[in-house]
Amino acid sequence: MSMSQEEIEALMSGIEVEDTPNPEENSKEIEIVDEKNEIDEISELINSEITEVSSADAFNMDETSEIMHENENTQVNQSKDGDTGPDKSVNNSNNNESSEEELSIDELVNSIASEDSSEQNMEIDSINDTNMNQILPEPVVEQISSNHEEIGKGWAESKIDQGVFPFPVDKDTQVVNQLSQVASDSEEKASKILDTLSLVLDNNDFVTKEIKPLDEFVISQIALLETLNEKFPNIAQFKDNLTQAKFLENNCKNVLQNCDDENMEIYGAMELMQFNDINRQKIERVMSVIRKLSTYLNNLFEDDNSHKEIVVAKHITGDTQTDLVGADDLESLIEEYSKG
Amino acid sequence: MKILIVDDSSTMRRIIGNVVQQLGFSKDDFDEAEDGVVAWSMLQKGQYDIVLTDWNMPNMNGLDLVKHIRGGGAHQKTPIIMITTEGGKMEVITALKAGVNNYIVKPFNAAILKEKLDGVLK
Repeated sequence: MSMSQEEIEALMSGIEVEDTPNPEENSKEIEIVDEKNEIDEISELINSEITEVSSADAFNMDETSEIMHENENTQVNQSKDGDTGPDKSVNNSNNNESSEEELSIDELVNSIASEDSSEQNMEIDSINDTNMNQILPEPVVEQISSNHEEIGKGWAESKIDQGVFPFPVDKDTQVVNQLSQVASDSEEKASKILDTLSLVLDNNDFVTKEIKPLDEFVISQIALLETLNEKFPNIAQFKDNLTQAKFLENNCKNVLQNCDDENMEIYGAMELMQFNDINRQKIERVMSVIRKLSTYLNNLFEDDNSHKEIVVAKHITGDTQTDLVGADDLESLIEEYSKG
Repeated sequence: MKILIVDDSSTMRRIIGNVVQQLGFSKDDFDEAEDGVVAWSMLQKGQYDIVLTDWNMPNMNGLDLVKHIRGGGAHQKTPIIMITTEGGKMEVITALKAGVNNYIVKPFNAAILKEKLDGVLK
């Protein structure tokens, strides 16, 4: 009695079900077969088929593992094609199960391929994320360009020092602008110096005002003590106090004198600060000269702007440049280029 | 006595003010103006006993201010001392012709100002 593959598979599943008991399915199978002998025959057939299938499966699994190993080492995508060797061998060994196994192999290969590609992508992404800044040559380019800028700047500065190039026209090198800034800054700072000097003058006035009553009191005390000392020369207390009062009077006079001297010095310094105004006016005179000179030069060199830009010759006979062509060079050049 | 100090430099105005204080005047005795226009406005509004003015100033210079003052008004006879860096003979003559009473060339000190003030106030 021959059985189709589907029936065998159904029975196989029934046998497998025995390991995981399912009484309803078993009873259905028993009802379908209905005879014990037939069941025995079928069981024998099943067993024989199982042994054949298991041996074939084992063989196929060995081949499959080899194929998998090969596929891992080679390009995995080739296994998707149905004409590949391993698939053929699988088909030859068991045509009925080949489609299912092909599917499983394809799935495995695809999963491996997808894993490989995803791993590769992950690696590429990690490279992009972490090491891209180190790998990319942009900073090097920036460094080179900055070096070039520094070299160019140094070269330009040397040319400016040699007088070959003029200063660049900016706010700090515009003469009139700079002079105006100097004048205004100087005025501002002079005003602050005057503030300080005025503060010192005010403090000195305060000290003078505070000392004067003290000085007057000490003078009156001296007069009193002198009288007492004359009338009671034997009392040492009057004599000592008189000496002390004279010492204090002398101190008060010294303080007042120092304040006066300091005030005179400050007035002298303030008078000297008139030179700030005098120098400012000198600067303004220079600014005026420069402005007039600028206007004059503009008037001298300007035209009516009715002429177009003239094309000027770059190399003229008599120039000291080395790339000027001589008569011989000219002839040889003409001859050389006329051949072509 | 009320003094009007006219100079475009704030430093200079303070220096003149200090010198005036050295001569015994107080801070309330003088006012300040930064150019001829402001000074002329103040002269219109207030009463001053003497004017100390610079020459070179923006808007209205000292010479024009002197001419305005001498042109008429309450301060036509008020003494004017010009304090300036202009030290040329022609400038001094020009200023004197315009009507200034005395002339001081910067830099100056308290003694010079006192001498000039005493001279014009007499």
